[in-house]
Amino acid sequence: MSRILIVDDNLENRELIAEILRDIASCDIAISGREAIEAYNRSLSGKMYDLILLDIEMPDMGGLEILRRIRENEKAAGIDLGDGIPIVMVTAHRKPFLDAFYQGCTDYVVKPIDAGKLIEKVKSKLEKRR
Amino acid sequence: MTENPSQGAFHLDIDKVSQELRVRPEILKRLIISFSKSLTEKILNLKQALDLNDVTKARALLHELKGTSGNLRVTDVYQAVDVLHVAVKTSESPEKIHDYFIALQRCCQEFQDYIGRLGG
Repeated sequence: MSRILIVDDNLENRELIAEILRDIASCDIAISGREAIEAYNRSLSGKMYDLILLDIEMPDMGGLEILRRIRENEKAAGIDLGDGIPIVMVTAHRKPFLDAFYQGCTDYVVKPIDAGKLIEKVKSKLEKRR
Repeated sequence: MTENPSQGAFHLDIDKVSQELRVRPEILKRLIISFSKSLTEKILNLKQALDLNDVTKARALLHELKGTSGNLRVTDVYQAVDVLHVAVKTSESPEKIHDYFIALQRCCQEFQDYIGRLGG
């Protein structure tokens, strides 16, 4: 089964997303930017995540900063942008998406979450990854 | 599991929403109860931010409330949050913001009462 990292500081949002995706992936949770980076770094020496779902607005470190750090790490490791881990941003904001795409996000999902669209997007990214 | 406790205007069809969200009803109910319990503190924090005219904090709290209420399809709370969120973003008068906050507070209380009657 595919592995997904869900990064969201809000308990109900992250558990809802994990429940929506329960049949297509095994989901790990990070509740802050710091935890997200730690989980990502741990995965580099074990089984890599197949996809990261990243909330944009979090108190300690925003989703855009996490995205930037992961892409920088991949670049330093010689991984081309198109071959990096798929990162799907999740937010109620519409504005930051241009910044997110500029920094290398793969796709985005808008809150309120549409379960069908979320499943479809995640499935499509996971299939491309195989 | 059609949840329809009597009293009050608030209503939430957990079966219908769980189908829409493709989640198990018992999980959705647990998340909605959790959200309901978290509301008291969030509304208090929001009131403090508004009283101190801390727009950044108020907007962040409203953004979070909007995201969660929207995701869980707690529509009445979502709409009341949205009205206040827009008012804060567009620097409406303090009187209007106060009125919209009171409306949101009342809406949250009705939601919490409803969830309380569900056994949450």
